[in-house]
Amino acid sequence: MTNALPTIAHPPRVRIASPPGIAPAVNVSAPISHQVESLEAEPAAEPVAVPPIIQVQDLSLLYGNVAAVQHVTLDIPRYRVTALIGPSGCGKSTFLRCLNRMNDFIPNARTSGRVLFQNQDIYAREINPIRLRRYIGMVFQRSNPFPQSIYDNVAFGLRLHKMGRAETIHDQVELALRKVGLWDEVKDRLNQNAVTLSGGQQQRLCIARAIAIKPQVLLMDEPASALDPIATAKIEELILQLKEDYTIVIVTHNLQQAGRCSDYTAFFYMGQLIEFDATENIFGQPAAEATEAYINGRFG
Amino acid sequence: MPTILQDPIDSASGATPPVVDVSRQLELELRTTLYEKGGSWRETLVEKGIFVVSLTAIFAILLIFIFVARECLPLILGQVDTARSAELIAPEKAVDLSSEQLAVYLSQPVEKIRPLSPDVLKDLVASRNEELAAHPNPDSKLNTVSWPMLLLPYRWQEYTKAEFIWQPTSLVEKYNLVPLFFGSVKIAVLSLLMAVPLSLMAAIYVSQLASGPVREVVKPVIELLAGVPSVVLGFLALIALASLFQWLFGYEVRLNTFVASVALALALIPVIFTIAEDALSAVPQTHKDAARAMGATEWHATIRVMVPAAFPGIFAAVILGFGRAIGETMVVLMASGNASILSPSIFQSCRTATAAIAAELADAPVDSPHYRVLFLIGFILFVITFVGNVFADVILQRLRARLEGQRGSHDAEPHASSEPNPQEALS
Repeated sequence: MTNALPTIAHPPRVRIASPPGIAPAVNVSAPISHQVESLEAEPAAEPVAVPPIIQVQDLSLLYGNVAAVQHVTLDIPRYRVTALIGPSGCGKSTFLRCLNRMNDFIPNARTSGRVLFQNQDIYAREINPIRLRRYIGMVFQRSNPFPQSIYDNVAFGLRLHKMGRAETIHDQVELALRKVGLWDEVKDRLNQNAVTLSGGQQQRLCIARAIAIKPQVLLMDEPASALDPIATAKIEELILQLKEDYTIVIVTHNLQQAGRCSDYTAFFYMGQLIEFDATENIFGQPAAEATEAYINGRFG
Repeated sequence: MPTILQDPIDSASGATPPVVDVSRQLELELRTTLYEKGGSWRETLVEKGIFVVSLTAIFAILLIFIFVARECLPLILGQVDTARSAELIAPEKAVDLSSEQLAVYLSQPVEKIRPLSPDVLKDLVASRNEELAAHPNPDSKLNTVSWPMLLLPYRWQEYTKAEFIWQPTSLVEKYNLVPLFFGSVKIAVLSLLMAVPLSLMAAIYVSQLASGPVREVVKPVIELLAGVPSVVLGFLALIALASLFQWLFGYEVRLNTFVASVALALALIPVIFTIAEDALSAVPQTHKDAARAMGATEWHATIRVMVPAAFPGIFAAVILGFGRAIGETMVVLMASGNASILSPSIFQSCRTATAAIAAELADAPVDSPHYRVLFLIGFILFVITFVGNVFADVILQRLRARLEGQRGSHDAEPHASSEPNPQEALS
C-alpha cells in the first residue's frame, strides 16, 4: 500500500435507516406513479427511511485468494438512483455484478455474506439465478445489441419469457422504445440491423431491451463511458426518467455524472465500502478523508 | 500586420530562450530526413517474392484446369468416336488405307498406327476382324461417347429396358456418367446428414456450454481426427465397420454406400467442427452476457443469440464439408464396394466420380475414349466445385452483410407501420 493514499480507518458510514426484515413500506401492486409521488415529497438530501429493495449484508467476493469486495453492507433504496463510485479496480463493478449474480460466470469467484432482494437471499442454495435476472436487469459498459433487427433485440426478452403474443409484444416493444426516446428515431426501420445504429442509440436500445421485460432493478455498469457528451446527456436524462419505474444502480467513473443523476452515492475503495450517503452529502461534506480526497481529484 | 501571439511561458519567466537556433536546426534536419527513401532493398525483395508466390497458386490452379480441359476437349467437341465401321476391311487392303482410316477401324490413336510396318498392320486388322466376327453386336456401331449416350439412359442389347450404365471395359464400352455422379451425390449427402448435426452439436457444446477443462480436452481431440489419413479411415471402414454394420443391420452387400458414408462422415466431422467452433468462439462474449442478464439460460443465450450471430461461419463450415465430401476419394474407393449401380438404396454398392478416376485412369490407354471420358469427369467435378464455391461465397457475403447491418434491398423499404408520422400529423 502506498503512503500517498488515504488510509481506511473507520467503518463505513451509512445513514439510511433500514430496519432489517421490515416489510416494504409501499404496496408493490399499487400504481407506480402514486408510490413515487409519496416518496418524492421527502427531500433526498436528508437521511430518510426509503424502503430498501436490495439489502447487502456483509458481502465479500474473492477471486481465488484475492478479495475484490470485502464486507460490504449497504441498502439500495427503491425507486432511487444509487451511484457506485471509486477508482479503477476498487471492486464497484464486481459488486454490481454480485447484485444479479452475473459473477456466477467468473471462474474462481466465491462470495460470502447475504444479498436480500425484497427479503429473499439471492445467494440461498435454492435460488435460481436465471429467474433472479428476470427481475434484476443489467446494462453494460459497451453497448452490445445482438446482430439482429432492432425489433428483435427489444422483443428478445419478451419472447424469452413468453410475455404475450405477437400483437402485444409489438406494443411492448413500442413502449420500451418510447421510454428510451428511441421510437421516433427507429420506427421506420425496426427491421434494420441494430448494429447500424449510432453508439448512443445502441446503448439506449440496450436499455430498452433490458426494461422491456419490466425488471424491478436496473444495474448499469458505466453505461455512458464509451459515448460522446451529447449521447451521455441523453442517457443521464433517461436515467432520471427511468427511476420513476425502476430502481437503478449505476457504476460510473464520471463524478459529475454521479452528482447529476444519482440520489445516493456509495464510495468504494480497495474492495471496501468507505462511505454511503445521499449524493449531496458525499459531494458536499464527505465524512471520510478518502472520499473527500477522491471527490477532489487527489487520487483515483 | 500579423498579430504576434504572446507566449504565456515566455512572458512569465521573462527570459528569451534560444528558440531560433532549435527551430533552425530542426529545419535543416528535416530537409534531409523527409526526402529519404524508406525501406531497404531486402524488404522490396521479400515483398516481390511473396507476390510471386501468391501468383503461383493462381497460376497452378489455372494450369490444372487447362490440363484437365485439354485432355477432354476432343470429347466435348465430338471428335472421339467409338463406333466401329460396319464393313470389314480385308487384311491385304490394310496397306492401301490411310493411317487415319486404320486408326478409326482399330480404335487406336493415329500416332501409334503411323510408325507400324505393313505386316504388323495386317495382323492387327486380321485380329480386329476376328474380334468383330466373334461378337456381332449392333451396339458396336454406336458412338458411346456422344453426349446423349453419356447422359441419357439407353437400352443396350442384353438389357430389357433403357438404363444408365457405366461399363468402360466391356466389348461395347458404356460410358454413362449418371451412375457415377449419382453415387457421388448420394454418398456426400448421406455423410453430410451424419456429420453436420454431429459436428455442429459438438461445436456448440465445446464453444458455448463446456467447462474449461472439458473444452481443453475435447477440442484438440476432435481436431486430431482431421490428421488421420483418409486411407486409414477407409481401411477401418473396409475391415471393421463393414463387418460390424452387416452384423447389426443384416444387409446383403457388405461394402456399400452406408459404410462409405459413415467413414466419410468421420473425415468430415473435424473439418466442419473446427470451422464452426471458430465461428462460434469469435462471437463476442458480451452478446451472451446481455442475454444472460435478461434471464436467459445458457442454452437460450446460445441458441437464440450466439448461433444466429455465427451463422455465416457455420454455413461456410457446411459448404466446406460438402466440398470435402464430393472430393474425397480414398475412403469411398475402399468402402463403397465400387459397383456403378444406380440405386436409391443406401445398402447398395456405388461408385463415385472420384473413385472412378482413381481406379480406372491407370488402366485406360492414353488418348483412348475411356481416358478422355475420365478427364471429362474430372473437368465436370472441377466445374461443380468451382460453381459451388462461387455460389456459396455469394450467399456468405449476403449473410455477413445482413449480420453486419449493411442495407439490403428489403431494409430499404420503410417498415409497414399503422402509426401516423407525428411530424406529418402536425403539419
